Amino acid sequence: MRRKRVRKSITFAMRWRAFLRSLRETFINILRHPFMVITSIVTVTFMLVLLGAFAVFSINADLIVRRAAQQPPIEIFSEPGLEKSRAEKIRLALEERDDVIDLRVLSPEENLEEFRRGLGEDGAKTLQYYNARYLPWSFIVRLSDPDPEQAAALAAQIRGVPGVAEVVYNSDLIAGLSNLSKTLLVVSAVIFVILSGVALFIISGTVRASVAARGEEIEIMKYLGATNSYIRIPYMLEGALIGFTGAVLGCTILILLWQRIYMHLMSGTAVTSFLALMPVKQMAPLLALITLPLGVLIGSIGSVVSMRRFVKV
Amino acid sequence: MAFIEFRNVYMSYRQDLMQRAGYGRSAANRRRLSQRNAVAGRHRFRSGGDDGYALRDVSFGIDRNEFVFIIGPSGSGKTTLAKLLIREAYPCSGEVIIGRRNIHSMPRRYIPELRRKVGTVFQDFRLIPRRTVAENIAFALEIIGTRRSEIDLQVQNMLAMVGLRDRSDAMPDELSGGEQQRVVIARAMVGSPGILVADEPTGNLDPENALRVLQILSRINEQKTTVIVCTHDDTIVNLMQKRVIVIRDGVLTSDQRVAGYDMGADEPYSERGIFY
Repeated sequence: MRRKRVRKSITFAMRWRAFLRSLRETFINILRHPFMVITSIVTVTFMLVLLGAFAVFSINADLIVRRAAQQPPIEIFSEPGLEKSRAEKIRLALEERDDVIDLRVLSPEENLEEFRRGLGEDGAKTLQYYNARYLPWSFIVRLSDPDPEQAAALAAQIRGVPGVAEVVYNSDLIAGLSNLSKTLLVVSAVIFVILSGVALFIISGTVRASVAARGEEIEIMKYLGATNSYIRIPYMLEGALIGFTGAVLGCTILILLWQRIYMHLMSGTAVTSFLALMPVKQMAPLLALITLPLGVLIGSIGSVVSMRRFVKV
Repeated sequence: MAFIEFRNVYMSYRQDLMQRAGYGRSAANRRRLSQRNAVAGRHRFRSGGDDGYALRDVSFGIDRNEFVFIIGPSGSGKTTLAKLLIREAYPCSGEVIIGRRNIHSMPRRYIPELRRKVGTVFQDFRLIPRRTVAENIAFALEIIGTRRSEIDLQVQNMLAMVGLRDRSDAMPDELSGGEQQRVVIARAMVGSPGILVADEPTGNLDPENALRVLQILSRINEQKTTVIVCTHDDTIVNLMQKRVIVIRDGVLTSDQRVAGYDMGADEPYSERGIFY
């Protein structure tokens, strides 16, 4: 059956004007109840600072764990006195793997040199007539992920290459760091979701109060033929604006705080150390990327959720 | 076919109450309603039960540009009828047709458009307190994005029509009840709707103001607008000498197209002058 089309009496220009008017309404609403708006902004700021502080902690923790996981390298030793061409084959086998991010090859001479250096001046003297021929080649490998299975797979593969005598890696340490990294990720995600939920709940409560205060006006708008979107837009924008302002404030507070904490904690630590924290320059964009969209999202979703009951035509 | 038609409209008290409490016609609410009815020994939500109807088999038609009074005592179903016309309430069964279209079967997105075509006047005025008289009237055009110059022109016309040109900058709380009701009429008419539904427009007014409001409604009707007035005030009904539809306990008991309405004929307590 052919459905009869309902004539639309509202043109695009009218819709556009109505949208502009609802924008104006947004600002009028904000000016009309500044205390409510300030309360909401402070709430968002507080929640995002809390959330951001946690993000800072987890970003740094993850950074350190990752670095730590790459610290204990996998060492591969060849048979003593292996020819250069055969050692080259082992190097190629290692280089072929995508998960190897760093490979250092030490020749027997270099190993001897390092050995001497490790023994100090007196020890070095005793080794002065020692021949490098009796020493193996060594390959120091770092993997992209602190994954014990990856390390085991590499060890198994390399052991099969002719000329390899021994593969040394601390599987327990790698496994421990890997687990820590995974746990940190899960805990971060859970806390992030919980804090976002709490922020959403608080914001929707605040907006609900402001919507309820204007419930009668919304009712009148509905009777006069206002569309749901016309009624919703000012509240949504108000929520988004509150969220954005709160996020900007929260982000600024976090960056300033991090600047101080970073200066304080890094005063005795080298930037290259594996314990080095993320510098402010790298942290600031990350924080902005987390807090700003989240603030806008929490603000607008909070508004929509809280006014659903009022705006059902 | 009449311009507006109520065809075998039923509405249960339960549904009326739930809709008033803010429950819509969603699937979840229909389930809730049917569950409640099942508990009460009824199998379908559409059957309100013998005792449970706000409206029972109400059928009548209203022609274009007609002026109709719907009268009856408090709780007889007048307001429910008015609400059905703007889809503020849904019938349990039956159809409400405006201009050949069953307004209760059309998609929800057309409700705002319907409400722009059916102007409504309430007993309790429902003006926005923080807006001036002119702003309250303009509001109805602002929400649909009318051009500012046109809004100003229309608002001035409406103010002139209801005789409130000099009060355009007043706030609602500075106005008398009669003046507020006139602002509400101006607001309802500013979008030039084809139908005007007034629910107890004189309920809060003294006789002088009530008469004035009725004169305005009559003028509106003369300008080719269908006017439906729900009231329990028989004096204004007799004064206007228009078509009168009587609703009693949700049932249409009389539909007189004759001039005037004789209360004594079927109202045992008409000596008091009003329904109650």
